Amino acid sequence: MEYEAAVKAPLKLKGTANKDIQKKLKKKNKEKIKNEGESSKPKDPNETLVSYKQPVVKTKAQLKFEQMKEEQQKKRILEKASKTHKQRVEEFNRHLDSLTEHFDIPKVSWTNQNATSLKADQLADIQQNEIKEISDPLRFPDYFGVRNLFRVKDLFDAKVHYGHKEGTLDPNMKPYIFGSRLGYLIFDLDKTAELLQDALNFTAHIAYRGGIILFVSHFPQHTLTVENAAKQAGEYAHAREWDFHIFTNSEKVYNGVTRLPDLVILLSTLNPQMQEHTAVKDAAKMCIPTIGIVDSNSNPNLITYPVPGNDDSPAAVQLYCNLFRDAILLGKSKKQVSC
Amino acid sequence: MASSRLERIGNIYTRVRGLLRSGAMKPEDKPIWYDVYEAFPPKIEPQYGRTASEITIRPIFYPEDVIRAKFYERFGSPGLISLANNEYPTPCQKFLDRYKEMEKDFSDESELFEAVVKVMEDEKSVAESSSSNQPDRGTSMASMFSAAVNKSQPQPKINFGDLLTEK
Repeated sequence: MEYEAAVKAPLKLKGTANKDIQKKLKKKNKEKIKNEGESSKPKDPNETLVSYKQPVVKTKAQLKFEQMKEEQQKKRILEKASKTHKQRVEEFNRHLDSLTEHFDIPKVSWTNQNATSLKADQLADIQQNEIKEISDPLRFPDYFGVRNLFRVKDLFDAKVHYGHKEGTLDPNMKPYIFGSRLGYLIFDLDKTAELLQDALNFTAHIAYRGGIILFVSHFPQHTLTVENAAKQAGEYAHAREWDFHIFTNSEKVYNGVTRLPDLVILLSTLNPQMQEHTAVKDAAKMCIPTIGIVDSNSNPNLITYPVPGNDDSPAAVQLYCNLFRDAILLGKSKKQVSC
Repeated sequence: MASSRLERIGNIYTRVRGLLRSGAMKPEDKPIWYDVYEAFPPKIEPQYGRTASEITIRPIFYPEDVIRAKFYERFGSPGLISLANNEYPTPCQKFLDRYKEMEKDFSDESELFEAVVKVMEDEKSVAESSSSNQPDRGTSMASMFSAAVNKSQPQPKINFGDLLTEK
């Protein structure tokens, strides 16, 4: 198509040895030599002429140009070397100071004194919303840093990974079990750590928003631990026998208007009769989120944020209490700072 | 203010969401936890009648269990062992460590086992003969107590397990 019109010959650059011109020149010189040679010596017609190459010839203009270029470069180098960077910066600053402020980027001050384009209150609203958006705790995956409260090794040292025997296993707990060591179930601490982190994060956010948190446990040997943790956190605990209508009929039981907790933390989801603790069902009924430590014989289905782990060892329960107490205190501390 | 007590239908979030959408619950009555739940939902949605998964629990066994079984068969249990104390290895643990060291020299398992037994018994007899000269290796009550007091972590002050085990 269009490519047929293209020139397929090599480029003919000025100054470079060009074979065609060489040929021409050769021819010319041949003729010259022939004419000259005839007068001097008769040359052997078979002798081939010395093929000399035409030197790369630059035109006058080219030579002049290159000369000027060199001179200019030398000049420039001398110029640049004359001043240090510091001197240059100082000079530039002096130059800027001498200019007017007319072309400067307009500043929008916090006191709205210089803002002329927007109304003062409009500007304030925009700034407020921006601040709120930036500092909204819900936007951060771990605003309170609950990840740093514990390590998987701490869970191991506190015997969190010990479950009951295979015979008492609740089928719903199977995903959280790592395996069974001669009949004794062992929890997968990686999963436990992840779920525990979620639970602590949720706790911290509820505490930050001023929610009431209730620690619940019905194991007699853990009563003191649980109640102390709640006291230190500044929240509430119910570690005794559960009255059946505390949540569902609270106003009758307490004889007055009651506010139910916004979060229930169950240190054990079973009562001493090895049945599901009433608080699990009642909290679900009253639309209260629950966090529960579920052992291998507990049912995690009704619990909002289950944490699979040992709920019998005092060491484990002490660890959980400490972690939840710390999460609550973290949430509350951030609340004071912002307000 | 409306509420829904049906714990077996959906979960608390779906019920409250339904109430808000239908208008039964006003937006200002929205519970505190609602936004937090939306931002950080649980990994598995809570639901009453969730069917259990068909996972089989796998048994946990280690290659060293074979050696442990042989050891206990031959020598029996040393009585009480304190699982909480990781410092003083049990006789079986010592046997295992020595077994691992000598594993490269032998190809036959039973030969290796007998060899290790011999080595341990020799060591034991040597230790017994010079026990009076050796400093207290920490199995007496007094040394355990002082060791525990010096540590920062709370340790059981009287360790009956170590009292009753042979050295």
